[in-house]
Amino acid sequence: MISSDIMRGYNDIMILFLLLEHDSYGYEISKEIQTRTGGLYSMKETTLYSAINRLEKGGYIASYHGSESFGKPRTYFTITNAGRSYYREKCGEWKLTRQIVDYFTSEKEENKHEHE
Amino acid sequence: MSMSKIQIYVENSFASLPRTKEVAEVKMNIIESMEERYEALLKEGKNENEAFGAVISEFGSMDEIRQELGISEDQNFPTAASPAGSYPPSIPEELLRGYEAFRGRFAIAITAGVVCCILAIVMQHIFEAIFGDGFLATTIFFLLVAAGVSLFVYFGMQKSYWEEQLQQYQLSAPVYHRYASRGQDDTLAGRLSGAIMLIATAVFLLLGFLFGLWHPGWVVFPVGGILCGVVSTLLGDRA
Repeated sequence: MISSDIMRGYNDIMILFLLLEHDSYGYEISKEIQTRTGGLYSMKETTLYSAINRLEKGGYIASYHGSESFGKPRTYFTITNAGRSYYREKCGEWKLTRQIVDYFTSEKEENKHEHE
Repeated sequence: MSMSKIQIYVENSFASLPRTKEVAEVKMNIIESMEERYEALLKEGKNENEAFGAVISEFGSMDEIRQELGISEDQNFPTAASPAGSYPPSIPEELLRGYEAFRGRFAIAITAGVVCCILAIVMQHIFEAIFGDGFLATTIFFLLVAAGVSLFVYFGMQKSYWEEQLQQYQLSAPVYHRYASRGQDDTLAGRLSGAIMLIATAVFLLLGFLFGLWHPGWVVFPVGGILCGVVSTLLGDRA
């Protein structure tokens, strides 16, 4: 299982990614995350709603009340323009992070090889 | 509307958090999403217990919510972040109900005390008229005054006992607001009323014994009673 410490900074990205596709609600977001990662990662309720709360406070997403054709009323979330640029920013940050972590986690032999 | 198992679970987990709008919103969203996951699991053919277990295991940790909303665990007093205040152990329902009932009895007892004092004068005069100035008239007078004063003293003591009991619990915010606005004034009104009636009694006894002015002297009681009423009204006691 993936440590939640490491994922903490990237929960925002997953939520924003899904909201870029279409507006969604809490349960759908967490269900999508689980299916798309093939069950490798599932976000706890408290994690999901902490992130949503943070994103909403930051103005990156907005909520509204709606309902499915014959479903119950739900709180839907939609991404804002600020959210879109925040998403791009986070993606850039991740690429950088990945480069650095990749370097230190690749096999010793390979690194030596590269420098020769 | 009865609460579902999930609702109860989430409510309990959130019980120690301040009841701000933000907290309520997060709580409501979590309940909504968990209920939906639960329904979905039932549709998949899981039985209620399996579904409930699966939903609960996906709940997560309250520490995360606390951190996110900037609520420290031992926060017991209202802060800028949570103006509504957070939640020390609240007053047990029975104690509150007992106190409400007592307030009713207290008002009746104080009224009865005042009535006793007035009756003392009236009865003294009636007895004097019937049996002549003598032992019986004086006895009935003192008995009734004693009864009135005992009522004041006894219920005054009871009142402080209740107030001490209530203060042992740090008043929780919703209750606090209900009682504090009245409560503090109440104690003030109560103390002032007690003082007024004590002074009235002292003045009455002094006038009577030193100057033999039992007769016009008794007006201190109705006057005192009216003063108590005025004080209570001014301080907003609606009891």
